[in-house]
Amino acid sequence: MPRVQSAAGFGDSGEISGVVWSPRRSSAGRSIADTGAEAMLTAARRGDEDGFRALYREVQPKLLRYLQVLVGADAEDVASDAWLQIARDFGSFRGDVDGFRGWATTIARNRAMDHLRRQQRRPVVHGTVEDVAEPAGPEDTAQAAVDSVATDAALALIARLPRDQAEAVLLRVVVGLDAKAAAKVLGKRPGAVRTAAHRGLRTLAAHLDKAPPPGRTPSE
Amino acid sequence: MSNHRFRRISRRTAERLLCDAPGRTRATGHDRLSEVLAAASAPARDRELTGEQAALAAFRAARLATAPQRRRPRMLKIALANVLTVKIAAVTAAAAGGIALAAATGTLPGQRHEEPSPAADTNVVATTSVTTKDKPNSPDKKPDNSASPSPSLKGLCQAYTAGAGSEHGKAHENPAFSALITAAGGADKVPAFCADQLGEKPGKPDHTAPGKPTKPER
Repeated sequence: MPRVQSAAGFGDSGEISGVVWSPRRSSAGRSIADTGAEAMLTAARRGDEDGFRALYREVQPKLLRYLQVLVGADAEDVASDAWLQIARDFGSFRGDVDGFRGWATTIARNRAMDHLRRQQRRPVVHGTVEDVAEPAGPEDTAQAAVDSVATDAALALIARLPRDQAEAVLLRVVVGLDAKAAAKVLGKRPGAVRTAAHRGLRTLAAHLDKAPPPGRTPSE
Repeated sequence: MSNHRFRRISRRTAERLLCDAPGRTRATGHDRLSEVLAAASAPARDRELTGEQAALAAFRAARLATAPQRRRPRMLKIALANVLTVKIAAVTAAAAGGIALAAATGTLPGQRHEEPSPAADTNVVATTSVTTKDKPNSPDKKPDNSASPSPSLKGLCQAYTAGAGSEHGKAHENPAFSALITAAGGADKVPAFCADQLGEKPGKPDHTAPGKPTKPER
């Protein structure tokens, strides 16, 4: 495969900037209308604040949800850090809107990894369902996710996956990257990311199946 | 109850679940999973955008800093460095300047050395620059010899060459260097003169500059 992305080029901090970020799009109908999004990007490149604001509003919620799974309650702080860097290095970013999403996600992930390293702490999602000691059991979380269809509950459920699966699912479903772009962010091969995402979905489905069915029962 | 088996998700179905537009429930027969994924990728909520002002401020700041592309900072840096070297040059020259003037004027061809000796040698002591400072008590010989002009001119030369490469034009205009220019016999001869001054051992008079005052004495 000629297009295995060498993610080795993405250092842990800083040197992502300047890399051309234009992943191939494998699927149409991604989250944003492309023309509008490209317009934002172009405007932001010209120094237009509204363009950058639009990019922020488009990308930030995705990053935040991803970070929420990586670093839990510190997600907002890490996201702020990431945006400072994104704003600072924006001038050296080359690529389209999909590329921007991948680039920004890489920065956010690097900041998250720095954060975790600083905290000398295991990532929130590390480990399997059984390892996580939390007040609510997986069934409760699954129930909540299904019942309320709440974003946070869904993220909490995803956060219970092993980290590689959780990340793969989030990058693809929430951030909206395709397999190759997600692989680039994670520094893995697309095939590995695809597999991790599929496994993640199966694990999620298993959790959901174990939970009581979504019949409006708050508790049994 | 928790043991019953879920339907296995095929690769194709998984891809479909992953690829569908976020926020839309996936019609794959895995409704609950679809709902969870849709919830996870639901539209933004206001509280997810609280950092907007900070991000915009950072964008603004970055834009200001790099306005005409990344050339700006480097230029700024160079300009700053230049200002600094000029300042340093000026300070050094000011320190050496007293001597320089005294020495240069005292030894300029037109002038005899009537009273340069006391002035020159106190200044030499002050700068403590070169070889002669340990003999301030033999003032009559020193100033005429290599001592008094050399250290001061040397100081000026050092200042001059420190600022070299960047700001010669400015250095020429700097009054602190006028003595040096006079001594060298012209602004354009200063580099050669200074090369001589700095290169040679003090007192060795193989000069090129015609206006160099002290050598004829030997």
